[in-house]
Amino acid sequence: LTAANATAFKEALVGLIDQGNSQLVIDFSTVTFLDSSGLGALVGVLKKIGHRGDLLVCGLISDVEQMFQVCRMDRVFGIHPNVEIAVQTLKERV
Amino acid sequence: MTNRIKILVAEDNIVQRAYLSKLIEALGFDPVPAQDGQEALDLVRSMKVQIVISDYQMPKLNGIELTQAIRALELDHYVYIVMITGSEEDSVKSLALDVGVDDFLNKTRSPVMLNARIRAAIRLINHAEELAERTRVLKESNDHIREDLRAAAAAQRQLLPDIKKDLLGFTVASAFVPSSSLVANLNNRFCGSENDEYFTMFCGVIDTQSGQLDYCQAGYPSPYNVAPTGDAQPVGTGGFPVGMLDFATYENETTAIEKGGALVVSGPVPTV
Repeated sequence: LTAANATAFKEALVGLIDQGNSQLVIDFSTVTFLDSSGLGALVGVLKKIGHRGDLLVCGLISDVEQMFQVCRMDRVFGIHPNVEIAVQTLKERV
Repeated sequence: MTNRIKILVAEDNIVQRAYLSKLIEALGFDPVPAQDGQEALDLVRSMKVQIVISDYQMPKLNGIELTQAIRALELDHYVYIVMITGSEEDSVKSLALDVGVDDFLNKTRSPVMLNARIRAAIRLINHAEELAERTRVLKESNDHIREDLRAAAAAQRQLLPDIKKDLLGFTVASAFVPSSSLVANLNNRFCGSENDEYFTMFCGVIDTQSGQLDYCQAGYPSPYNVAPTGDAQPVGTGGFPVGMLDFATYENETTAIEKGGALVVSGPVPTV
């Protein structure tokens, strides 16, 4: 997730939010690289949801997780090992 | 009706004025009649007239004087001026161009030629408006950059240790705040933008006598504290980037750089 696709990524998620979806889980298991633009887009989506819903991420590979930690995003996003656990967490919150 | 382009018709002959106004209306524009040069000038001052079609010979102000007066106004839009000419000599037309007339229309006032002149005028007006808009955007960007530079300069001044202010006749800017306060101030300054922009930084002050490094990490990759033996340890455990989250907090941390050791900083942006 880089400058090359961060805008499309954000637009797609904002589209989902505008359609009324406020409980989102993003599966990063196939994301091998996350740069500052990708992180910015992700935070933009989080701001878009605001207090109306939840945004959880899961499936972070080691390097991506390290990026989250360096920027303290592990304190901002709920991070889970996989989709099943993330979805279960959302269900329990609802 | 109010959004249509206003075309002022400055013509002292009532029949010609009414005829031109009818033609202009039939072409889909909003005619504004004026019976002499002074009335035309007053109307240009009081409403957004974008095109003026003016006779050369008129009472009070003739076509040349009217053009000079319009060009002397400080309007926020361009006024395209077409002068109606008859048998005037080339010297009159040359003077008209010199004072700011854009085009001429023959006394015959052919509807086809009138339409062509107006379309040419609209093309130029549109270009002028585009240019004005681009200039406005550039000025805004320039102001933004200057503001950012002022903030960066203020940040640099805050990093300076508190030293004697007068040095060999020069006034030295000096101030000191802990690195975490500096980063927090910058975060307050840059939070709230509409886009997803943010930046990362690692800032600190090294006491060269004791080797103590006081620092604050804000999303920037950890530098390495390299001991004289070659052992390298990352410094810091991370921190929120600047300008991303208004609730971000920043801590000041401390580490020691051994005498003969080094602090190695790398990486322009946090990447993995």
